[in-house]
Amino acid sequence: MRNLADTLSRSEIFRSGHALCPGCPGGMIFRWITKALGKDSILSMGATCLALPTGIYPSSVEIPSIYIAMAPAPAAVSGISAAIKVLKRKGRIREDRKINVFAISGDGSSGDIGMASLSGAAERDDDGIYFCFDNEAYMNTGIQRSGLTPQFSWTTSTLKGKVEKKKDLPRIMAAHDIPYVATVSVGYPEDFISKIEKARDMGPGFKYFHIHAPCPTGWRFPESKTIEVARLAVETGFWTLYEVDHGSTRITYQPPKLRPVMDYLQLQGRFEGLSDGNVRELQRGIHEKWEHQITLTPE
Amino acid sequence: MTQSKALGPDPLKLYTYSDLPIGATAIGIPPEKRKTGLWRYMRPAFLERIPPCQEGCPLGNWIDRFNAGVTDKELDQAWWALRLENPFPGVCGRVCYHPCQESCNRKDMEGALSIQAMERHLADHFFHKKSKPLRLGKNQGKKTAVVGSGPAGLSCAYFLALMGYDVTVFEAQADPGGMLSQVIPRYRLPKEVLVRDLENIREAGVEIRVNSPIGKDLTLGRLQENGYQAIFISAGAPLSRKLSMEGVTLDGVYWGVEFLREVNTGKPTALNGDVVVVGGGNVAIDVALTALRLGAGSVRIASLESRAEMPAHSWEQDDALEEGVSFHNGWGPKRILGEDGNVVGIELKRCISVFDKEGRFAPVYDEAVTETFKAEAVIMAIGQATDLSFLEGSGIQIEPGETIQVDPVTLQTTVAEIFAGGDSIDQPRSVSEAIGSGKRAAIAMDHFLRGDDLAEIVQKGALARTMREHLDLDVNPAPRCRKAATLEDLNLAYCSSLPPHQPRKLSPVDRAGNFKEINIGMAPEEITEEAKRCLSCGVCRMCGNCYLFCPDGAVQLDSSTDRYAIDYDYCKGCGICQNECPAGAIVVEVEGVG
Amino acid sequence: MEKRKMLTGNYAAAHGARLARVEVVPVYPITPQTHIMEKMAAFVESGELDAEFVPVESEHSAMAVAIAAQATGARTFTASSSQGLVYMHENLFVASGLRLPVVMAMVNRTIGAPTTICPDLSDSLDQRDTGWIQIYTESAQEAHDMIIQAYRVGEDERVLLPVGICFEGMIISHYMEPVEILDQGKVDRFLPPYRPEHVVLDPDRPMSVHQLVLDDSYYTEYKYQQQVAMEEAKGVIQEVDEAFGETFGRRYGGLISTEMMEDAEVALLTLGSMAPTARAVVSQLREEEDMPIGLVKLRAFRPFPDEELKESLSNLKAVAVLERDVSIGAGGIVYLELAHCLGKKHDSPLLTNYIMGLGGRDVTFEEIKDTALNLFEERDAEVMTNPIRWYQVRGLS
Repeated sequence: MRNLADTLSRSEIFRSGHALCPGCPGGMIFRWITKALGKDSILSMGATCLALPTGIYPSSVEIPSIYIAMAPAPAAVSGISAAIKVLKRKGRIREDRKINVFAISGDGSSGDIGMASLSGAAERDDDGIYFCFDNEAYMNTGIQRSGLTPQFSWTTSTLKGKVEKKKDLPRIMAAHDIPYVATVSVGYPEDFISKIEKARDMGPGFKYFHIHAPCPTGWRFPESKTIEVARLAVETGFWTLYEVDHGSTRITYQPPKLRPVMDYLQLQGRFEGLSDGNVRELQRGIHEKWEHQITLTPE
Repeated sequence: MTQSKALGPDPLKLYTYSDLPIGATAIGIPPEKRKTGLWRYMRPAFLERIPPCQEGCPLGNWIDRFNAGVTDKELDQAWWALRLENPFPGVCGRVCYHPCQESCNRKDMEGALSIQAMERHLADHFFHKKSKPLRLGKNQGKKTAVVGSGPAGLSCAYFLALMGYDVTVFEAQADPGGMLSQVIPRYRLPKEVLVRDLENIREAGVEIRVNSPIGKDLTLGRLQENGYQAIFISAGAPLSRKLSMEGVTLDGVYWGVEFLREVNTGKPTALNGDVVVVGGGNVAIDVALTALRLGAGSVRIASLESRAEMPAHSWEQDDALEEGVSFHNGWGPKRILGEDGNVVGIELKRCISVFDKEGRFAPVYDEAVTETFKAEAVIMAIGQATDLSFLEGSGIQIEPGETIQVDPVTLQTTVAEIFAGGDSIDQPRSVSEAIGSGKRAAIAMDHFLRGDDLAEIVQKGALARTMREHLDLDVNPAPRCRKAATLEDLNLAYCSSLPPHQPRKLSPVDRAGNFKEINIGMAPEEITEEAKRCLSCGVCRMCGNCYLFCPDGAVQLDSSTDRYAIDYDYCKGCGICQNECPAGAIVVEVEGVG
Repeated sequence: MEKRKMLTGNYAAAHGARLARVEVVPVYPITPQTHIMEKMAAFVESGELDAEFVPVESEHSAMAVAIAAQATGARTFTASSSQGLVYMHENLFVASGLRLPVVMAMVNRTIGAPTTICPDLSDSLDQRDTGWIQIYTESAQEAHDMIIQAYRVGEDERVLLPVGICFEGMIISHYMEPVEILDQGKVDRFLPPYRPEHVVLDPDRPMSVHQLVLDDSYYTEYKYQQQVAMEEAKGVIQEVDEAFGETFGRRYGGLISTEMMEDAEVALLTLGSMAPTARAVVSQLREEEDMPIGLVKLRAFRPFPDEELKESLSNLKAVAVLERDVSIGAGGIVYLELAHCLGKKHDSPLLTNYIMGLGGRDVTFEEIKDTALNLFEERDAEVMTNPIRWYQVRGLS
């Protein structure tokens, strides 16, 4: 296996000195994405905590970026790639120059307010890579529930735990029949980065990444545990790493044996109030999900 | 452009509306960054720990390093690291009791790493290759002497030579090597392997004078007069411990060490019929298997201890069982039966307990319960003894147990310029302990010869146990913690479950009647796979987790050292690097305390 | 060569955009603008226009695509109306705040409820605080010409602001008029290509577009820059109108156009499609009754031409503002701005405000004449009583 650190570019396009919380997974994924996509890129910044590094002067990203509003990061991808297309035709950008257009936006801005914009850009198959930074709530405004907050999770707007289930955005995106949909986790950089490289090297079209990104501030766990929590989400089957490459689905990482979901839940303050019944319900949900997705004997 | 400026605003300057770039846009990426390290209240730092294997190794072998060399297929580097700390890689790769493996953190998982196999593989790989001698220090222009050419003496000599001292080793016997050449059976240590290690030691600059006993003609005093400024004594424990008992003078009664020495030096010794070996240590096993090879019809080992209590290692016992040796545990010798001056049998008495409450050797017998075995030979292997008569009048104090009195840390005797080690001092009697003591003494002697205040160095805890520490040769400039890395220090999420590989052995049938080496080692590809099982406990293996996972990009490769380093201007102190370090080589402390 | 053709206002505007060689066209359909979208799609499809047509899923995204494409260095064009314009409202602020000279045809229509598909200026006037330049036109020809002028105004480096060209739905958007389609060669000479430097998403010159200016660091200064640009736009609009006249032989007067104002004692002030009717009324009263009345047509609502209006109106006795919009609870939006602009000086004219034509209700010659005659009756009053008048309300006497 390659040593990821040695094969990735050492240059830091996403620079130190940004305003993200200590332990924020966004810092990592921003570094990995920019390392994998390189400097010939344009970023459409959505509404997410991750807008802070580009939005507060001095910028921490050494590539051009634009933020418009909460919802339309996908539309901005369309606008940028449309402009590049026409400017190439007119000879104002070299025809053979590959400029990677990508967007980063949060779970709420992708799956709630920006759902139409995201769906529109995907349906038009506009050229770009879209990263949904899913920290499972509106974190920048102070931890309010989003459509992607998991069931039973505490937020400042679901004080007794969210009643409804998490919206399955990657499956919605896969239903758009776009060239590539991938779920990734900050706990699995090799899987994450090889998927970015794959999407980067594909032909034009809309590629969607859904990043499971544990937020120490909002999920109430120590900031040193970001990766551990991310890893346990996958090892318990709570989050699944897969890709849908031109319609064919493949699990890209299969835990050797599913660990009990409690291993994941107990690290996080947001799940503190769960009853035994809640835990059993979540565990049952995971089993059902895995039975549909893959044959695996859970613990 | 009338309104836009080429650069974004300087945060230190207050701009007017017409100075600002237009469009709420920061044009260009300015060189300055926010010093987010100011947010930090916890401070991570690289701090390597001692790997438990190295901690368990009496000579502090650089195991993680040579193992990494094997994993990375950089065998030259592995060989260098091995020879830096061990003058006897071929020997240790075979006869060491590998306490390193006993402390391996994998032991309680799928089984310890076969470190010894790694060592042996390197020695075998370089057996026919000429290796450039290591040179670690300038010629010091000082003469040193070593008494005895066993593993302790040659170890001390080797390290003194590496550090640039002139070393002369005085050996009483005709062959150098002490126990290695004279006592350890060839099926455990082939002669050519020892010879190869000895060659490397000589090439390091060690002069070995055989047939040169110290005592009558050549005294320690003479050596000092001849300009040897420091002397290391490693005269070993070349004798068997004796026991007075009825029948011990009968023909057919042998003593363990002497028996093995005769076989090893080629004296014709033939055995037949039933043989009873008395003793529970490794020498007893060596004797039993040697007796089988010399033609004994059956071999019984009678020991006071139970199987579990026997000092002989379990794998040695297993070898013996495989070859048909039977164990009679809980029995001690009462008398040896003879007829016409020849042994015909042995009467054993029941041993009720071996150790007293404090764990001291104090056997209690039930004289009434006995058992008698027919025997054509009885071999007594009940311990070894030193012969320190040559030190009379030297001023060196001898302990009641007939060992040389030394400072436990510096190994300095009661005579300042004389040091001692190996089986001559009170320490566990094994090859690795002997080599380790030779190295520790060499390091202390280096300080002594430089005129350093040894007592002060010891008090500060600054006396190195290894050459890399002593000569500051570690690859990682980061400080190293004195504590060994435990399983709890590691992040096992990055450790896959890998089954161990076992060295192959000659089948018992193929061992019968010959002295061919029992252990045939591992195939090179198995060795590489086995090396990959290493968890690199406490030692950075440059996996890059700290670099990849740092949200602040504050962990970067330092091009001057090729190691990762933390930039505290930007490190916010989240501690992810520490949490995700597979090796436990990063610590986090409260800012301003450490 | 110029070509004369019978065109709807929508098609005339689309031809204007085509001649401006727009490069990215994101549009979402909404009545009464949809024909512009259709025509632009056809131009791109046929190859008459080398552009990317982006059929977005909402007006909100239409403006976002326009902003992003413009920021990447492409000239963009979009069109919207009514609810659509309101739906993209937040993004309008972004386009102007980022100083991106997007041009949009704002085809005026009421905003529900209740819903109609008929004209009303409330939708675009409602966008008055978004930082867009707004020009109101009275004919398909003017719409056509002004789309082209809009790019030259907006892209002027003294301005760098988005521009809305407004015309009323149905009345202008859907009725055919003879329109002279301008010559491409002349348009190319009149309108240089868009080559921005202030905001460009270019990997060779990275910049971070749309900064958060926390702690009040520079928000005021950025807003003041926009204000300065709006002030600059007044002169630029005039200059461009003059240059347009030199090239194409047709001028519109820039910020306002005044007619028959010599010796006038009273005036009608209006904008958009009511202007031709008002013009007919004024000229009839002048020619047949010799009444001292003039007409002021407001063309630019943003920037608001306060100096020009003061100069034209301050010596009059009375002015009636006729408009197809209302700010509920206050009055006609143009009237309110004008009243504010003229202030309460002793020589200011008396002002009345006729809110009429709401929801596309026909405003007839007779009705406008009625407002003009009222002016003459009331011109010597001390103060104007009940100045804000809901005209045409059934049941209101």
